[in-house]
Amino acid sequence: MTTRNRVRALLAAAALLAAGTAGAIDAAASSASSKTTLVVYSAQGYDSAMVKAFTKATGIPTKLDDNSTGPLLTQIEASKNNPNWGLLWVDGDTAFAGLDQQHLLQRGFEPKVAWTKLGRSVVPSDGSYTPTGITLMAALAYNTKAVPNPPSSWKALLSSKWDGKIGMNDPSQSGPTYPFVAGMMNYLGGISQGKAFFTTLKRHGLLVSSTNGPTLQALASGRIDIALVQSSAAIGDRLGPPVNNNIAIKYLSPMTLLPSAIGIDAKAPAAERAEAERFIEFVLSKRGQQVMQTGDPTGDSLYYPVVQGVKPLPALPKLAGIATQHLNPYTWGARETALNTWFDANVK
Amino acid sequence: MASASADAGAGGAVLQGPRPRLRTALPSGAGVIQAAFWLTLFLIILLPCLAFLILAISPRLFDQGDSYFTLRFIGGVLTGQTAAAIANSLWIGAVTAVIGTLAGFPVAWLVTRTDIRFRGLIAGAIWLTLLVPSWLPSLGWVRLVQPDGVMYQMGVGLPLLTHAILGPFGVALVLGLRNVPFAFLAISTALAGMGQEFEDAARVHGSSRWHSLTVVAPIVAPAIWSALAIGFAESVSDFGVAATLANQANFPLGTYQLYASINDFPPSFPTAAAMAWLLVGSVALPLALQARALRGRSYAVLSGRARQIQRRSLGRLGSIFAYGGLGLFFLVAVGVPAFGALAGSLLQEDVGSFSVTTANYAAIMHNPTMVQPVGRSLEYGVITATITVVLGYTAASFLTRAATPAKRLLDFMLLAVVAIPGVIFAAGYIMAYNLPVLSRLGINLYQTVGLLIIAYAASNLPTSARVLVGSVSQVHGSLTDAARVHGANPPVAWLRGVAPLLARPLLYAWLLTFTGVFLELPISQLLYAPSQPPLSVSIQDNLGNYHFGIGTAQAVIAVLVAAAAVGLVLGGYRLLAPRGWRQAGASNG
Amino acid sequence: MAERVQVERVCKRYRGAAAAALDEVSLVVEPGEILVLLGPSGSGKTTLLRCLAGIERVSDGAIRLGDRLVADARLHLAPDRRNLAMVFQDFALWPHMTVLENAAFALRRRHNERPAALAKAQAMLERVGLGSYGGRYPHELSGGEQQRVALARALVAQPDLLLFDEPLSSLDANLRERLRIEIATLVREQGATVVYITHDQGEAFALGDKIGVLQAGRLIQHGPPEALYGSPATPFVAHFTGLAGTLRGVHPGPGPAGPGPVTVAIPSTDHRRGLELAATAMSVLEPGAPVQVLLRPTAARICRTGSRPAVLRGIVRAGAFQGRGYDYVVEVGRDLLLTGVFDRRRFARGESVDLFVDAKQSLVFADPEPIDAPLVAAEAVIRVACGEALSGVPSGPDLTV
Repeated sequence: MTTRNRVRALLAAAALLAAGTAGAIDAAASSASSKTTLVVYSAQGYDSAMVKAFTKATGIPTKLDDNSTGPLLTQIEASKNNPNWGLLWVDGDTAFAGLDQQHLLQRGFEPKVAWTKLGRSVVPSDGSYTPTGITLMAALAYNTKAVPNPPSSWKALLSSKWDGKIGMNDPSQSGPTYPFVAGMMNYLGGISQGKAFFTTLKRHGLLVSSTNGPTLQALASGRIDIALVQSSAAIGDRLGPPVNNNIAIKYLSPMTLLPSAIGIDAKAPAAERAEAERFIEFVLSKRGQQVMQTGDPTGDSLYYPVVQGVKPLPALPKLAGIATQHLNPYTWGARETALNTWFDANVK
Repeated sequence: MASASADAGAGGAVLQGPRPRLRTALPSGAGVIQAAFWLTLFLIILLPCLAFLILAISPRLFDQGDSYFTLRFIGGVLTGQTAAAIANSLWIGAVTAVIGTLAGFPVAWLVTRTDIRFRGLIAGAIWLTLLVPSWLPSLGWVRLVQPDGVMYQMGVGLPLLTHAILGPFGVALVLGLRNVPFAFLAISTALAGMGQEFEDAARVHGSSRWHSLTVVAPIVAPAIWSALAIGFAESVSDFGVAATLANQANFPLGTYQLYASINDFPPSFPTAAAMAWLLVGSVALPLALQARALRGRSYAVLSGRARQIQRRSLGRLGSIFAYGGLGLFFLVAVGVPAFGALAGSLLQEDVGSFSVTTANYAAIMHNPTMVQPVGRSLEYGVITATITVVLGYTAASFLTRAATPAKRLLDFMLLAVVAIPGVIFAAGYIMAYNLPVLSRLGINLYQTVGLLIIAYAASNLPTSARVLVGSVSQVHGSLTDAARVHGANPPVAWLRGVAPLLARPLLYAWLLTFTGVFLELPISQLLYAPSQPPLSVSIQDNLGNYHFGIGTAQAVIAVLVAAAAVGLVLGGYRLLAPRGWRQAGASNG
Repeated sequence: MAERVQVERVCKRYRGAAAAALDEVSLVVEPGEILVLLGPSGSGKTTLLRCLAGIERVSDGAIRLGDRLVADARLHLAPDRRNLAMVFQDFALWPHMTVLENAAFALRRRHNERPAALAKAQAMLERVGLGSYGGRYPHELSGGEQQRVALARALVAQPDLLLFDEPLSSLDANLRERLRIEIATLVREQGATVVYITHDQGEAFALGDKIGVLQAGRLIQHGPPEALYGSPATPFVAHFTGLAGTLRGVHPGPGPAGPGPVTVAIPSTDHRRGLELAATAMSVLEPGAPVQVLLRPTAARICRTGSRPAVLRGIVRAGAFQGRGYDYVVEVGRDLLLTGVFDRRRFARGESVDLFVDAKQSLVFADPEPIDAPLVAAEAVIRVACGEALSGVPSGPDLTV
């Protein structure tokens, strides 16, 4: 090797070193403080308000990875044998049941709180995750100008009257939507009946957008007249800004309960798991619930609380007047891959 | 009489008998550095790609399934939705390769063989279109023709156009136009290098003008095959259009389907890996064929000598057609999507109302989370471009050496990276950098900016090396040798003797990487550090959440910032570089 | 200032290469001496020069500049610390520097102040006749001018050792001679020690105080030009220092002969009619041993037809007018041509001429492995060797085995 080439190689090595250290510095930063940093994977609208409040209250440093449910689950899946998250906070207990079946969640934790009856009903027996609130799937948001008489039952949606007018989310991109698909199957009496329901909708020109936002946008733009979305998103859309009085919401019977929940990484260091437990307790505390209800007032804050002593926000309808069902998350969680793939190929 | 043996005696007193060889067993410093270079290439190119491809048949190795060997996933992607997506990619690839070549050939001919005016400007503009990532024009088109898009807001309702653009036709159009610069570059090199004498010889020996074309055609044929192969490969591996226009149009393409099988839930990495096999195969095959075809009859031979080119006069009618055609091309390829994006960013978002507003720009300026991505991407671009140019220069130095096995391996690796779509590359990074073995070595790069930058650098390395290899090979080793024997130490010899000659190509390679990274989509999408989205991801997020006005305004800002950065760097070089540097660069680059 | 250069059993092996590029080369260049290394491409002369410069490391052996050991198997003094200068085959002028900056480079690197350096460089440019070119860039100059800049750059710092790597080979023929003379004048003026490599024997003889001939990495012969010309060590050296043609024959005996004047027998196409040739043996010849006779360009001369000294008769095949006379190609057998046969007179093509061969310039080497050379035609033989002289030498086709 001539000296000339040695110089080149030297420069290359220096560059590589620079690239490598960029990552190392990042890693070092997180371990610098005395307390372990709690890594929060969350898809909730109020999450950044919550981690700030939590750190302020407890002094525990947090690192928030705020993303959609899909990418968060991807990150967990990808780093299965090298996990770097502390807790996951997303909508839909089926997703948590799936993770639990893969033994990725810490089991046996239940915060000492006074559950409401509704809350108690969605707490898993093995303590692998903790519900933090409940929304409904899927609220029927409709354009009052175009639809004076909205459908009054799920089956009525199949009428040719609504050809090309109905939109919903893609269950493989929108966290809350698989529970809706599964819920319809459960309600209609089986998977094949449910599949028939969605393929019929498809035949009638169902528009599948990725998530709540785009589906509601399609409603706003007049592309569709009826949007099947998460209740919190539908109510929030009405609240604006800008306030949208052309939108009305109907809750067909039954609505599927969609718990938002927190699960703790089974492989996280013990110190971080302990912090995650404190985080859950904080979320369900009076202060935590206040943050949850103010952090995303036209979106995720529009939930039904699971602990006693907290009233739902005034924009929410009384749950007593709505027929609901709760899916067994373990049964239906196991079917998620198959049904999403089916939906992808046949409905989307 | 003096003889060799007699002479040996003169100084031979010192050397009694054969001297024992005392070379140390330890590798020299140079060897360590060279090993580091290869280890780097292994870690940033080979490992991720291999890890991901192996995952498809051995998910258990990566904790992604039960079997150590299975063909289930490969079989799986050959049916249903994934198969349809791959099939779509293939036929779109073929069609767009043809569109690109058909449109690129006349442009190349006009610029190299006719006396059309503004030739430099035309070639420059074509080059510029190459710097713009495909999701940008795609975004412009989508925003223009969407059912609630610019066109309708302006009161021009053309449902037929909406239907056409938001479908296979639109995808083929955008990707086909995108292939024009590639075809242009491949073909214009051949046409420029082809001396008039080939045609003259045919004419002198009795061919008509038309017949002489058939004589000349085989000389250009390799370039045309190149254009087709590159066009096909580019379209099949494109992610920008697949993720935007095609996705909106519900027209699944392979790369996006691969991305979806990772990013939608529940994610399946083995399925994505199986798709990677098919995509890499369909890209590698034409590229390998092209490389093989060119090896035998490189047109570099034809361009080795500077030949006088006789430019054909276009005439009046010809000029009208030529300018008309070029105008149409730039209008459709650049003008329309640019208008779509610009108008989209300036229109009020409410339905039915048509009023111009700067509210979107104001909203961005007042929201740090919208401004930060610009700075972030600028930073990533600058860092990556610098690293890539250094690595690319090192690689180019290797490539200009005599053919050793190491050189051939490097050559192959760089070609392989070109054949691997960015989205696969990124997915490979996710897999490879979650391997427990790396974390045991203390390498924890997943979800860090470091990994993102390394992935950017690795994916840009081949282009950078190719851009530099020509210039590096032109700089004779004797220039550094001369500096050394006249008293310069190695760094000074390089800085004074070589760097000025390479300043311009290095600058271009830097800018190429910088703009590429600044607006890069697939790798950013899969590897960005949590809560630190780069610009392209931030834009896609806004568009995905139907914040079209904000998203398009961000895109417009992105293009302006990129243009300003390029202008700043080029202008700075013009002002600051000594006259001699530019002198040398001009004769070199 | 000028230094003695000692090269001691230097070896250079490249990784992966079968043969050594340099194989135990030893030589000494006295201070102020010009050594020209002569050899075909691949002979190792460039490698040796690069080892001297320090651009290449030696694998074994040692190089000393003056008292300093600069290279051996372990030690390697970097080129910039050897205080030498070099002129390159491809000029190697930095295209981004002006002529003056190029010329001043070595001075600046040796810590001269800029104004002083520029003044010295300017003076050196004047010396090579490029005084008014300082502000130009190399690519604005002709090839010859560029090489003069390179020469100025090398000379300006008055180095201990000057290296020339085929500096004239990329120039036109007429330019070459002029620049060669300039180089000789300038380096002698400075009194520097010079190592100069070339594959052109004319250049070597014109410049060298000593000449070293390299073949396949070995130094075959090293000495003054006259010694090389008069007593080449091997047929290779003789070939490389200029020949008109080669004849094959035998030393008839009786008894061993040489080194010195000998008479050899050259067979012809008619085995009864061999040629008797007086020549000079370069080593001891055993009786009956096959030999090759290498004729220097001036060895064969045209003489009056039928005159006494004539030994060979040939046919003029081509003639080139050279001003003072003609260089002829004379055929003395099928495919056996003697080239560069000079005469003032004009002969027509196809004309028959008688040739005298100078014994002193006909060099005889034992020929252990007989080379396949064409035979002298029987009708070309004028001085016939006696029959016994050829006995034991097979004639005709057998000879070509």
